[in-house]
Amino acid sequence: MLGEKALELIKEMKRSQDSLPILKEDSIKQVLEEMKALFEENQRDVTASVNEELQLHTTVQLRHSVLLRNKRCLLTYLFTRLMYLKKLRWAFGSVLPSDVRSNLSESEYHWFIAYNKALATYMSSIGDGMGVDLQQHLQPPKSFYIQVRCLQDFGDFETADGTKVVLTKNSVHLMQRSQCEKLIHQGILEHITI
Amino acid sequence: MAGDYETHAQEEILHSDEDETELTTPIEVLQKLEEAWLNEKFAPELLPYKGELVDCMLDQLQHMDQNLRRVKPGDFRIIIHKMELDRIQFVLNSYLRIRLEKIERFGAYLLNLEAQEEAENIELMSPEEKLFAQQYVGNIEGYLHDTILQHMPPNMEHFQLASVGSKPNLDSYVFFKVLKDTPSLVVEEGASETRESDIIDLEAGSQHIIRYRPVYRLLQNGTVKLI
Repeated sequence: MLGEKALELIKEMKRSQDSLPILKEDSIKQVLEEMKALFEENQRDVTASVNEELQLHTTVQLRHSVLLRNKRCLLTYLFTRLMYLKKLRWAFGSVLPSDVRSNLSESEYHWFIAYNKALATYMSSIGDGMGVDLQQHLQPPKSFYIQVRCLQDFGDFETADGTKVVLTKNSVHLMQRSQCEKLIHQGILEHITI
Repeated sequence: MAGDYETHAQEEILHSDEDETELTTPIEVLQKLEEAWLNEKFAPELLPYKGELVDCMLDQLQHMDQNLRRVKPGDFRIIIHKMELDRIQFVLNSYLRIRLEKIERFGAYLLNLEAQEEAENIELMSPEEKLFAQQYVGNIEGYLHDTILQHMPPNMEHFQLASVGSKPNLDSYVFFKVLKDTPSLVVEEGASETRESDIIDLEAGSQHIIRYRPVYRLLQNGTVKLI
């Protein structure tokens, strides 16, 4: 059926909204091949219909709609993946978790690097080059110190005022919020509400 | 929640400014920044960048941080002051983050707008933000072109983000509070065919919920604020 592969891609995208499955390069290639075939048929028929063969026009139009639809599906598929990747950037920082990284295509990864770079350029240029890390202070602060539990062995962690904390698995610490926000996002610490 | 938090922050800064020489300005700056933050948060479109406020607040934050370093460690006031710094920093970061999000969502549209309306000289984005928008839109278009568009048949290979990119919905509803008396604001209600014009008077201190389109000019000259 015409346009079936493209629809498949969209369906898969819809099913996996909270994860990033491996890029279906084969399906993309198939859709592109279908488009190429349709385009060639159309060209042939258009040349033929110059000599008043009007009944060909309907077929040409149908093929053209399928072409447009396939293009739209492919763009949506790729674009949605980029947007998900962007969301991950804000959740995990500039280093991607390894399972996501392995599901990316080479050019998607390049896009991710470029996005990181643009973001870093912007963040360091705020306030006449003073720079603001927008990844910090993601939540409105409720209290200055928060209680955190360590989820994995991390080792020594030096806070801004120079004290050293040893973060071992399952240890509980009372730390300044601003100090450990990043570690919480990386999944090293867990915020426990009291 | 936001309101609750706002009053807290204001109380705190009154408190923390006691040992500073300039008494009024930092408070005013913070109030203005908080207003700009809330406006930006609830407005459907990107508002003009308040660069002066951001720069001034950053300076102030650094200044306060240095002051704090001089206080001897162990003083209980440090915690209160640092908490306040964290709060301001959150407002500031949140403000910039919301803007960045809008720039990403409407990037192509905004850049187009800017190219068209050079004569009117509306500066919505700071130069840094503009650079980011250009890079962001360029990256996406470049990626899509390299991956699939260049493999498409010749009549399909053109695509511009601006042609499909989303535009802010100026007809969404917003809550706002009136700061200065404004008589006879013309409000149009209903669908375009059955549109009825209504004239309302805005009293200072009153609160309304209304479509964004009729009030955005008032928002820009500071007659109303979004809540």
